[in-house]
Amino acid sequence: MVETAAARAIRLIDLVPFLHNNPGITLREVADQFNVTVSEIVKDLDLLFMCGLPGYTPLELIDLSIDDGIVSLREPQNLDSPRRFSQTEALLIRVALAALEELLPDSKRVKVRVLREKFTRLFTDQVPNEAISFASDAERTKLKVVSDSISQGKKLLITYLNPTKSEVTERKISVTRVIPESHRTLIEAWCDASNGIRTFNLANMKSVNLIDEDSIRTTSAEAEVITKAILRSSEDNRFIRENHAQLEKREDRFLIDIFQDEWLVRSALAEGGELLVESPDRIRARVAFLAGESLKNYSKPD
Amino acid sequence: MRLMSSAKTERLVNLTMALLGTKRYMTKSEIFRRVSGYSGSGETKERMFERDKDDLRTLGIEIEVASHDPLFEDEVGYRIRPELFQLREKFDSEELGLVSLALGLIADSEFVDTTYSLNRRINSLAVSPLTPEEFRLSEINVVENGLSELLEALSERKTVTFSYQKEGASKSENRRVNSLGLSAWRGSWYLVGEDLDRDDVRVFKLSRISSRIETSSSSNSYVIPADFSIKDYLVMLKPGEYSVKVRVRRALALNLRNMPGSITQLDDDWDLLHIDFKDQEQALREILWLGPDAVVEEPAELRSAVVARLEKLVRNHG
Repeated sequence: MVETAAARAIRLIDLVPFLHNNPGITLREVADQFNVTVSEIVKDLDLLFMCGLPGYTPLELIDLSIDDGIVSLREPQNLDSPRRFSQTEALLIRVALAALEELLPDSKRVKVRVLREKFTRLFTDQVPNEAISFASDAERTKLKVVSDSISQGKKLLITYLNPTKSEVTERKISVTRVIPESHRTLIEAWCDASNGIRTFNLANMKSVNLIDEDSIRTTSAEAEVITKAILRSSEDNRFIRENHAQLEKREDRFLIDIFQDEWLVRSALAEGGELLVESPDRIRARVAFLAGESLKNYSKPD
Repeated sequence: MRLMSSAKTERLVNLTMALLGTKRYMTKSEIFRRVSGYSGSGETKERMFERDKDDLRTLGIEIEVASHDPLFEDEVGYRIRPELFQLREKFDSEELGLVSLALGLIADSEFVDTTYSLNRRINSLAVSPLTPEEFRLSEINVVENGLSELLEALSERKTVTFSYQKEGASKSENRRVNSLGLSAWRGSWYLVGEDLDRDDVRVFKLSRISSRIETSSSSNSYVIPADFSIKDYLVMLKPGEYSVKVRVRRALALNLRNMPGSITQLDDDWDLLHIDFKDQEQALREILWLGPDAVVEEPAELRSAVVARLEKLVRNHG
């Protein structure tokens, strides 16, 4: 694709405040930040060197030099601050912050919320703060984070509600096992605060976040391997439509990565037989088992 | 000899700097005389300038036009307001870090170029972003097709048109909508807006929009009420009309317990919930999801629908 003169002009305009506020940066780092090659950056800088304010004497020109791969910008003229966020850009930032707010632990949410309001006030006050909202599927997201923690070998930071003591604590845990029971999903994990293996009820985890600390490996740890499930269903099934980004179509079947068994089991139940899990056997069997158990509730005399 | 495109790039940068640096409006003749890069006949220069001006505007740079001399209204002048061009609002390191972190959630999408550009500009401030290092966010799908067009339309209050296939409808219909807000709910995006042909505020699910979203050219064509809250319009957050009595195991089925309705304790194991679903379809899904932990008591038709589905599940998974 040929870059237009205008697109390049914007890069040049953006380069000045970037160099001004990042003194001593290397050409390589500048190129990475602007997503172009080093030789393109050198050409850009050669051109910038000729730009300036009317008059165009050395006093009015942008002054910069490259020495040993290091860029120094001595005089930015009036391009010392980056371009302001447009209304659309600011609205996109608000969307991203709203999503972030959902994902962070309770204790950090307030900051993001305040920041979101600040973006509304400063850049897009014609679109009220409450016009943008982001609500994720809490249960599904939690299961996904737990799976990510196992597959990446990273610890989780959880906000845990102990229902018997009704107290809320923040803990760092290293997941060893996910135990789906008929009435609840349990997470077995090494808990740093307790210095031992503890079992947590997923429903009582108010927030779950991956943190950049390697999991503590315990002897009982069995890494769960992510496998694919094979599903059969019509194209216009609700589950198929809602998850179509994660599905891979193979003739008349659909393949999906299993991050956590229980989510797929429950989804199959909710579809009431319109979605068939062909394999793996353990999921298929669990769907049949839970459906059978549920039926008993209806056959018992009241 | 430098390439033509380099000369144009250089001229665009010089024009931006000149218009940004001027306190008063610069007339065209002043621009041609003082800004480097304008040459040729008067007509050539005029054409050059008109194209440059359009290019800068396309890039989002606002150029103000005004006549600075009431006696010579024909001689208009141009300038770029520094406060609209430059980021002068103050942010601390922590705030910038949170913005970078948030942008990371949407970087892997159609917004890739925008997030690059925004991150670059955040890194061009005197204050450096401080990212809360301890967090690795799980990857969730934040964006969906159509979001980009709708955000632009919403931010500039432009009317949008698209064809929409209503749930259960066999074909799509054209809609003209003044967008009021956007909300993600359980992995899908919803637009709330004033449907101009139906003269009513409606909710649209983005995945049901079956055409390109066309945006009108005029901005600020309507006003969003300052007290507008999208949550007031999302049906899934409002009580439904399908009344159900369902028995659930104690301390379980939080989803159902959080719905508006009443809860009665039956015995040590079971509670009876009296709740309203949107429709039978929703009731079926939510109750089946809970497996043996929820039992429908009323209405009878829902009870038999649940049983029929459970039997089918046992048949095809057994």
